[in-house]
Amino acid sequence: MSTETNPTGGTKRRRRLGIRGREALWGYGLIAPTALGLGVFYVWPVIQTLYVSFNSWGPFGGLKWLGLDNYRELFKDEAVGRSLLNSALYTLMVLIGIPVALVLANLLNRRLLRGKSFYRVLYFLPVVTMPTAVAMIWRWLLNGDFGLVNYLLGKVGIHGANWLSDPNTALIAIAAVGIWASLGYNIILFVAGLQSVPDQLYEAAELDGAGPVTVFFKVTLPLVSPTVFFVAVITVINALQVFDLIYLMMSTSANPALPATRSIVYLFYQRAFMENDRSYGAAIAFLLMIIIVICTAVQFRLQKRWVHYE
Amino acid sequence: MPIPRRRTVLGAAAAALAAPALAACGGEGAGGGSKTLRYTLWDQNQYPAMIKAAKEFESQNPGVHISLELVPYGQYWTKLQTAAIGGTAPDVAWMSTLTFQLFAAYDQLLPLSTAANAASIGAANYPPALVEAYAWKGQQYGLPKDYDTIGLWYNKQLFDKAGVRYPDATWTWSDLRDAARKLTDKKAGVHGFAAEMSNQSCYYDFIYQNDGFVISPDRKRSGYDNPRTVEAITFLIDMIKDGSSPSMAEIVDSGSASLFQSGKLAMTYQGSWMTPQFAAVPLLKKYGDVTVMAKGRKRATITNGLGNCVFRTTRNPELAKKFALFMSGKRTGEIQAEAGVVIPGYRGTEKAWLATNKQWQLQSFIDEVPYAVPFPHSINSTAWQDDEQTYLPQAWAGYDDIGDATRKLADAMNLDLRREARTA
Repeated sequence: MSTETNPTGGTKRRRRLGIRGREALWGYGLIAPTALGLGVFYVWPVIQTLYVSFNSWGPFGGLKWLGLDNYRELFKDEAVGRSLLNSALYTLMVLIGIPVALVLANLLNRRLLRGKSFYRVLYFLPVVTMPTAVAMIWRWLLNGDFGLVNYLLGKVGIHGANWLSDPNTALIAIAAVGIWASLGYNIILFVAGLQSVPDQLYEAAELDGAGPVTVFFKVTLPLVSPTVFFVAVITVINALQVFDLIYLMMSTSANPALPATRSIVYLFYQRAFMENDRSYGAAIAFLLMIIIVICTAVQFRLQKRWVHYE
Repeated sequence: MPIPRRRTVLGAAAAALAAPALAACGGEGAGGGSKTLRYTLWDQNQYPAMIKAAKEFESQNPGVHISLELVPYGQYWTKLQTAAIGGTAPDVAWMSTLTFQLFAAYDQLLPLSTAANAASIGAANYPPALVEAYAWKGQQYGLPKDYDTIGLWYNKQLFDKAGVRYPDATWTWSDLRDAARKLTDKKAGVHGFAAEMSNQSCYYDFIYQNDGFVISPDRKRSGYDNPRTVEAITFLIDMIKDGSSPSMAEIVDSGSASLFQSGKLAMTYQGSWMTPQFAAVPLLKKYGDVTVMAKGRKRATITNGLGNCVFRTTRNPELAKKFALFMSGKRTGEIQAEAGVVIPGYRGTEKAWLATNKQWQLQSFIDEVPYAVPFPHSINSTAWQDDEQTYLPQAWAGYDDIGDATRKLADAMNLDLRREARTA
């Protein structure tokens, strides 16, 4: 109707807006399911968790405003400091898995390698195995008296430790299993990254007389650096959230190595669900989230120095 | 897969940034029809007996349907708490003496009678320590459907080999210690006794046998700074030091029960609930046996037992009470005894349980009832149990001095108990 009574520039603008508006509407419609899910199951609980952390929450609900009490206690709690340290140590150790995965991916990507899919399946199997199964099997393998690891070490004359109950070795043993379990996933990402490196670059490098090591460092590494960065970011986030592996490998009745392996998420679980202090748990969860945000932000800052986007 | 662009990396990173969400989701409406009772339990092994008993209750009460819900122990308490917050708690549920007070103190349960009037619901037929454990502020909330005590299990073959007299009811702590030394055979990898850091089936028993305590009777103070308590713990750790017990690390890695089952351990304190597991081991079926625990300054055994409790939110309170009493009653006791998994709580029904493994002196577990001590607990027991798990293993493994470890533990536990008193 308005088009007929007012056939000027204004109408044109309105029609253009109309098209744009309709497109936007379509866009919103298409992202709605995800956005809704994210909002209901992610953003809203995060906001609630933040709110809860400023209250006390009884075992059967009932919020009471506490202000900053939970956070004050957080900084006094020795267990929090120790757990943060454990999580940090675990993360540093698990990062060693990245170069290992990259080297293995490079080997698996060789054109001349026979039985390539077999090896890939082999490395990927732990990723699709239930974490519970992984933890239980490794608990047996690492058993101080009857474990296969110590049996094999004994064959070469080394007296193995009680890996999981010695505070000096427990976290290292868990990190080794953590690396092993995530290797397959990282290799898949790296192989994908390697395959998208154009062949002509390798050919050119070869013509220029570069050896395999030079090619790896001068051609391959810069071109897969975005994948390396991606894997590093995900690894750090996952490592800071480690819980199931430690919980399952350490949860025997009484383990002297527990204080030396308890991660921050483990402590969160313990405080919130075993000791029934949900709001204190919420404060721990928030502290962890802030730490992860900072770590990730730092990584994004640093990437400018070493990551090459095409 | 192409090389990830900056955007993809950012997006994925954002998605992986998870703050564990705590929000509990309340479901809708509890149960189906007005005559359906929801009954929650956690033990797979006892499930068949529970179904059988529930079926009998159904046939005695036409029109009533019992819906059993099996929840794994690992999630049991969290799930019950969440359900209670959301208003979808079951009508009747298994409780343990350890968690009962939490639910009672926060007014989640319906009393079955006043504690003074407990006789009207037949309380005299149950182990008194456990009847008391299910009472709270003058009300009786449940009766034990079963109970357990701890016994001294031993391997006769190893005793014969070492030429040591079998243990019996006359044994004291020094008999236990001396026998443990004689039975230890380093070359064969055999130890005399397992000084395990296991609460119910080891160090709690020693503490109470030595007239010490874990928590004061008014449940306000830790017992870990009590000299008798420390003495009991020292007695145990000394057995590790002199080699007659496997080390902490060995016990953590393998577990005392499996060491016993594989003939590497001559004596061990284990609960009555281990009976079916040990009966499946040919070596123990033939050479194993059990007697009462050795006497310290006095006799004591830690006892625990599950109660059937009714939730306040039930729509059929009278029916739910009737069902809870039935599931702790005589007939259910008989059904449980035949199944042979646990000792039924109702006096007299344990006969069939004793008959399940005639080769052993299972009567020892029942002989211990008169001096049984309820599993030490308070409203929020798990808080200080976590302290035990933090400090005691350090002493057991020899990383920390026993006096220091128990002192630190007493401080931490007292702090938790003060916090508990503040919030409850």
